[in-house]
Amino acid sequence: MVDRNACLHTSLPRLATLKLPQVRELEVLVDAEEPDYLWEKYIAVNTRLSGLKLLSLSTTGEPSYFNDVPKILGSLPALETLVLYYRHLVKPYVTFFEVFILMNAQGTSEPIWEGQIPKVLCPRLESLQIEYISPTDQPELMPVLKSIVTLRAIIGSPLNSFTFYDAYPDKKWELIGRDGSFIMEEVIPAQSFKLDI
Amino acid sequence: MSEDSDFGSPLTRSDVRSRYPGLTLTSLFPPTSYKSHDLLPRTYQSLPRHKAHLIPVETFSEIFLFTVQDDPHSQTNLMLVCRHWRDIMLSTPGIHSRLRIYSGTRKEDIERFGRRWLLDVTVDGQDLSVDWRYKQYLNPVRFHACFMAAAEAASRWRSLALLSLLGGDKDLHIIQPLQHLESFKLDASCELGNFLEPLLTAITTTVTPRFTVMEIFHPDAVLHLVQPTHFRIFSSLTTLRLICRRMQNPVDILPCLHKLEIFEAHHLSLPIYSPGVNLPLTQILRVLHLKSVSIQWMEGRIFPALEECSIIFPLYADIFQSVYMPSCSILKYDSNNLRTLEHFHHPPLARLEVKCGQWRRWRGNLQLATLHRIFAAQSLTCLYLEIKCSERLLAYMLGLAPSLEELWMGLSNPHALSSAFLLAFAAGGRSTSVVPSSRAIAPLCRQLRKLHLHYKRWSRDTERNGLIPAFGAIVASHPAKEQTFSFRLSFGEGSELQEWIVHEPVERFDIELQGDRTFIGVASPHGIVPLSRASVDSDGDSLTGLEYPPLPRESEYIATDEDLELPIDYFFSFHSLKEVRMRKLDLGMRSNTQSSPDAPLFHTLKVLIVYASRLSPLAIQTFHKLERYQEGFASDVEEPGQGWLTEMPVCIRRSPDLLL
Repeated sequence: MVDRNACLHTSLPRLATLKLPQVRELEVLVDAEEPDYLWEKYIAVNTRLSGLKLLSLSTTGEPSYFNDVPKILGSLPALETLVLYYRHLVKPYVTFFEVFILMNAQGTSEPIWEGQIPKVLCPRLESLQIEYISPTDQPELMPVLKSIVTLRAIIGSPLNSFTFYDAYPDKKWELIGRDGSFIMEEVIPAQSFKLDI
Repeated sequence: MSEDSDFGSPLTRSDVRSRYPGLTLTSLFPPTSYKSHDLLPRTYQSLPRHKAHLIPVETFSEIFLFTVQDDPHSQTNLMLVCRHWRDIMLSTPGIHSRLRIYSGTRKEDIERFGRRWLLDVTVDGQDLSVDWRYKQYLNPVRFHACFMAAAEAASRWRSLALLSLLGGDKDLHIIQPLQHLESFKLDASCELGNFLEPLLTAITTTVTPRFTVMEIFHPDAVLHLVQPTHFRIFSSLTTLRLICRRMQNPVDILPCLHKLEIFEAHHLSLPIYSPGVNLPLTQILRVLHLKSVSIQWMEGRIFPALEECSIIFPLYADIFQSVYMPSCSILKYDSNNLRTLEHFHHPPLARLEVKCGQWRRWRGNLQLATLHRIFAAQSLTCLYLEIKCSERLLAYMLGLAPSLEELWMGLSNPHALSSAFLLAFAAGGRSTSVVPSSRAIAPLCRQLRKLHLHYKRWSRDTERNGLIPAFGAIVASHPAKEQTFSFRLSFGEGSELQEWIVHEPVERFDIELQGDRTFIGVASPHGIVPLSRASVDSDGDSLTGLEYPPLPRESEYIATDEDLELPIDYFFSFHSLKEVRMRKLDLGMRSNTQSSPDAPLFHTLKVLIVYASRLSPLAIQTFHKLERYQEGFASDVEEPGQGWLTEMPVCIRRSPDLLL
């Protein structure tokens, strides 16, 4: 019997062995190398990603596994809710969050040169939830987060909810006000995301 | 046998108060007198020393004896105060102490007990509660030495309970007279070997009139003790329990029982007693439990003190005349012929347990009808009933017991009582769509607080599905805020016995699991009816001891947090499983099992939550209706592209359990 309290190791390859033509909500642990390769070669084939409305991604392994997350997100045009568990992501997070602003044609957050047509990641995204990061301990992150809120609203892909949750201590913040402006408001009670199965 | 003058009558509180007016333990020994005790707070240690040490030892002894009799837990506390007090305690005669000899006991432990104390000895060499880590050190020689050390103080044994011995060496003996023995218990599983003879000889030849309680569950020992030469020891008994095998010759023991208040006997052969024979026990007996024993001796006699009477498979019951039990309030009777009960004269009963083995309904009706007088007294608050009978008669009889608060019914199978009948137990006779209103029965037992239905056989077809919705309707009819109604369902016998609590129907089966309980659910017009049972005992061991948990096959919903390893084919026999929420389940597949694409599971399952799954062998399977799937750990995952796909064509949610 496996120790139930042991570290979790749900592999992305499992998802690659399932045929899920109608999946709409997905929670995946990314702990395999080259996750974008698995995603593109198997998961995108067996799973109707164009219908995916909710995705929850986390990693308990190498932080580098998350480097390919933007490419994965690029294949999800209908995604409305994205939950990211960043427990092992190494600071600073600025680079990572920049991809949610605008991307160049190559799907990276490199500078957009004149003449290029910028695109936004997950254009239908309404809710972005970041877990296990506290925005208060990284002042340099604030301008980037504000840019995400502001720029996505300008180009017609506004977020309705942008939250950060940290379990140590149990705190949650909402970064979007009722009028769509960038704010920072504590949410009580602070609750982690849980997919309702 | 002379009595030891050290062990006179125990002191009473009034004795002490008359000898020492105004004396209390705290007045004599305020906390300042404990100065020498390291465990006392420093504030006490700094106070002036008291002169309690000037009190004579004899006075201490009497006070200690009184204190320990009043509060047995004070024994250790008094001994911890100082060496002086400890020595006085150890030398004080008459103090009672429990001495438990088990596999881990050492001889030195035995010798620590006061040499003038009275001992309540329990011997359990094979105590199953002993930590398994110590069992490898079980040592029959050491156990033997401990027992013999204790036997040296046999004259100070107040009680002896022999539950089990250890090892093949039964060369035990008791030389000291058992002059203080008041109680002796011998368990059925205790293998005495050569010790049986000397043990019983010591008891039958040395006990005094102090000996009042004898509980012998060991058939060989009973045969030895009920010989006429030993009848003397029975005269002082107030409690006697004898569990025998079938005996060849009757034992004329009843006239010897002069002081008996509690009598239990199984398979004890008694002679025929004529009405003129004096049986002293009839006047003082309070509790009587007989199984496969003649009740002819009760014929025509009055039992003025009898409060509780249990008779199972009575012998010589057909020739019965009146028995008078003017104080009886609890009666249990188990026989194919209940007509004998018509000869029992007692006041209105509060509790009645009746079982009748007639297997034809019409015969059972005749037997049930003989209970009319008891039911008509309208005094029953608790009824255990196991009689095969018609619903109409049963409804009539229960209608005569409006005060019933607890009802247990033993039923042969799910056909025994219809849903329509059972719904009569719904508070206020709540109408329900489970049965047509034309078939509804008038409400029964409105005061009911506990309902328990036990089915000997819970059959394998779908006949039961109509019952569980009815059970749910009964629970739902009692306001949840009252929290006073409980409904239990059980079926099977022995190791296959399952007992479930029926809960109020719920809309969704997202049960909040409490402790180690397993929940199942069955759909009904009122929602999903949840049933729950404990998964493991207090030690965390499986209650059933079976490899796989026995769950009813009509379960449509299952939820448990029990640690389990199950093969997928375990679920193949469930014919309409919709949700499996087993967050600690390791789901695999036996190597010799063929996957069955036609198994109902693949066509009915909508929600699957497991901890770990090895679904590779199921790769070619399709879960046609699976909408939601969650796993905490995936093992045996084949390299993508190497194996077949497991198809979940309608699955809309899939996740690992991130919160495990």
